[in-house]
Amino acid sequence: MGFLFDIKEATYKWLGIGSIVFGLILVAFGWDMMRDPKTAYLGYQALGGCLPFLLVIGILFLSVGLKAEREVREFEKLAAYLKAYRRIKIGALASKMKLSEYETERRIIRCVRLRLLTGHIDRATNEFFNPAGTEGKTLISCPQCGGSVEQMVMAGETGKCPYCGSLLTAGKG
Amino acid sequence: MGKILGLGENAHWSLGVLFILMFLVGLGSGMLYLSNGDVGGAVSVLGPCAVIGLVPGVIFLFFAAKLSKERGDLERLGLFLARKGRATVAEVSAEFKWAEPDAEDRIVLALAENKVAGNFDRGTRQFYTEASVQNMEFVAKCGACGAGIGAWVSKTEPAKCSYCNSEPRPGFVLPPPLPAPVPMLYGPQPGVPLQYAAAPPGGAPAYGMPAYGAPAYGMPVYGAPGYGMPAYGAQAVPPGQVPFQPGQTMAAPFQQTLAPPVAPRVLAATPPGQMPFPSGQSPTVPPVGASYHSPYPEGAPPPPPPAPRRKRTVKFLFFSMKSGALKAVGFPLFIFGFMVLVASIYVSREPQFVGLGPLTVICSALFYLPPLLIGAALIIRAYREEKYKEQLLDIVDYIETYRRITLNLLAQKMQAPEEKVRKIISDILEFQLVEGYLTPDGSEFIISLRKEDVKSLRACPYCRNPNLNLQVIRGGSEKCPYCSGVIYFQEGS
Repeated sequence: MGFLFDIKEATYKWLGIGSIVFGLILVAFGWDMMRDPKTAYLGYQALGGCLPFLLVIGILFLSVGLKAEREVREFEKLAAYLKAYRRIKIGALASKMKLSEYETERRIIRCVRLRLLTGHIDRATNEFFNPAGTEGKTLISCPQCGGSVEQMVMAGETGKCPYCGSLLTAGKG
Repeated sequence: MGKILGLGENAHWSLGVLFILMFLVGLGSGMLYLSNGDVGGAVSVLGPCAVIGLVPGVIFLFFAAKLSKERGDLERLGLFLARKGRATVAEVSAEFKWAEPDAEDRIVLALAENKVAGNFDRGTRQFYTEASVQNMEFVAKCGACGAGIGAWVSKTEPAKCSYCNSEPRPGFVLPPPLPAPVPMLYGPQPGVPLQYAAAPPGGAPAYGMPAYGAPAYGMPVYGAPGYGMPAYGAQAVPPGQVPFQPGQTMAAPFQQTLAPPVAPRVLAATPPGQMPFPSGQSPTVPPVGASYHSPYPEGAPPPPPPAPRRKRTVKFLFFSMKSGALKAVGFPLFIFGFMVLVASIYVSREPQFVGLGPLTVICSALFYLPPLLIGAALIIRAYREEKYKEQLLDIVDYIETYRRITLNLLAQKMQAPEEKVRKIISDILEFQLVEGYLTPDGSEFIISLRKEDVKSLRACPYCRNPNLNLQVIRGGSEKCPYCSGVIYFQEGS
C-alpha cells in the first residue's frame, strides 16, 4: 500500500508542475500576442486573468506534492532504521528521527499499516523489533561486575552493562 | 531525495537534455531572426524558448547531477562498509566528511537500497556486515593483562592489546556453543596459542583464582618454583632455571615468552532448562562463571513466519464504503441546494420580481434549504465516519503491533477515553479485523497467537520466585512483578 503514497505524491507534483509550465507557456504566448496591437487585449487577458490562477493552483499542488514527498521519505527512513537496527528502543529512534516518542510510535504504526515494515513493539522494554530481532540471545548478568544486564543481543551485536559500561556479547556468530 | 515527479536519475538526465535541445533549437531560430535584422522576432522566439526550454532543462540536469552524486556516495559507502566489515558511525563520518547523523542516515539508506548487507550494533554504534559476523570475534578482556578491551577483532588479522601490547585474543572470548566447564589448566593447551607461557605444575601463578578444588587451587609452598604472582611483564624465565616438568623439553616459543602465565578462562554455559544461578548463590550477584546464560542450543529452529494479516471482511468493506456513499449523496445534494440558492438570488434581481426579491429567496428556500441542509449533514456524517474508521484501523494496528495491550495504554495512545476504545474494540471484533479476546476483567486485549509463539513462565530466572505466572510472546519480553527483571522469550526455554 506504500505505493499509493508515491502515487499521491507524484500526482500532486505533476499537477503542480503542469500548471506552472502551462502558466509559463501562457506567458510566452501572451507576450507574443501583446506585441501585436490587434491581439494585445488577448495577451493582457491571458497574462492578467489566467496566469495568476494557474500559478496559484500550480504552487498549491506543488507544495502539497512536496509535503507528501517529505512524508514518504520520512516513512522510508524510519522503516530503514528499523530494518537496520532490528531491535531498537522507541526513545532512541525518536532521538534519531528528531521526533517525540509519541509521534515516532504513531509513525511506526503507520509504517506497519502501509506494509513498509513488519514487526512488533515489546511493551516491557518499549522496543520495536522486526522478525530478525527475535533471534537474539539474552544476556542476564555482566561477567565483570555481576550487575543485571537483561538485554537481548543479536548475532554479531554487542550489549553494554548499564552499571560498569563493559561491552558484552552473546557470542561470535 | 531530490527527485522531481518521482522520476529516476536516467529520466532526469533525458528530460534535462531534451529541454536543453529545445532551447538550442529556439536559440538557432532566434539567431536566424537576428541575422535578418528582426530583433523583435528574435526576442519573441528566444523568450519562450528560454522559459520553456532552458529553465526546466537546467532544473532537470541539476537534480540528475544531485541524484548521480547521491548514488555514487551510497555506492562508495557500501564498498567502504563491505571492506571494513565493522565500522562506527564516527569512522564513516570521518572518512566521508559527513556529520554523524547524516552518516548514520546514509548507512541506513545504503542498507535499504541493498548497497550493503548488515546491521547496526546498538552497544557500540557500529555497522557490521553479515560477512563480518563469521570473520570476527569479540574480545571482552585481554587474556594477558586483564584490561577491558571490548572490541571485535578479525580472526585472521593480528591484534594487540593497547595496554600490554600482547595478543588479546585468547582472553575472555565468549563463544556461543560453550563446552562443559573445564577446570583451569596450566601449560600448553590445545587451541591456545603458544605464545603464552606455561605455568609450572603445582604452583600456578595464574591471574584469577582457579576453580575450587582444582589442582592449582591455593598458594604454592613457600619457596617453591613459581611462588607468588609474577610481576606484570616479567622477564622470561631463563631456560633450565624453572623445571616445568622433569625431563620435559620446552617448546621453543615458551622460552621466549615474556607474558605472565595465564590460563584461559572458559565460562560455563548454564545447561538448558536449568536456572542460571546454582542454588545457594545470591541471584542478584551471580558468579562470574555463570554470567552468560544461553540455554538455547545452537542451530535452534528458525522462528515460524509471522501470522498473515486477516483479510478485510465483507462487513467491514460495507462499513468502509459508508463514508464514500454518504459523500456521494451529500455533495451533489449540497451543490444542488447551493445552485438553487444562487439561482433564486439571481432571479430575485430580475425586473419582473422587483419588490418581491427577498420574498422570492425566502419562498424558494423550500427548494434549496432541504438539499443544502441534508447535504451538509451527510457530508459531516461522512467525515465523522471516516475519522471513526481511521481510529478503528489505528487501534487494529496498535493491537497487531503490541499483540497484547491494556485498554488503558491503548486509550493513552489514541488520546481517547477508555470507553470509546472499548466500543471500537467491540466493533473490531464484530468486523473480525483481529482475532483476539479481551481478558475476563476487560482490561487487556490479547491477540490470538499460535501455541509455539507463547511461553508460560512459572519461575523467574532472576529472583527464582516460583509464583510467577507470566506468558511471554515470541520476540517480546515481560517484567517479573517481583524483581522487575526483564524476561525474554527464547526458543527452548
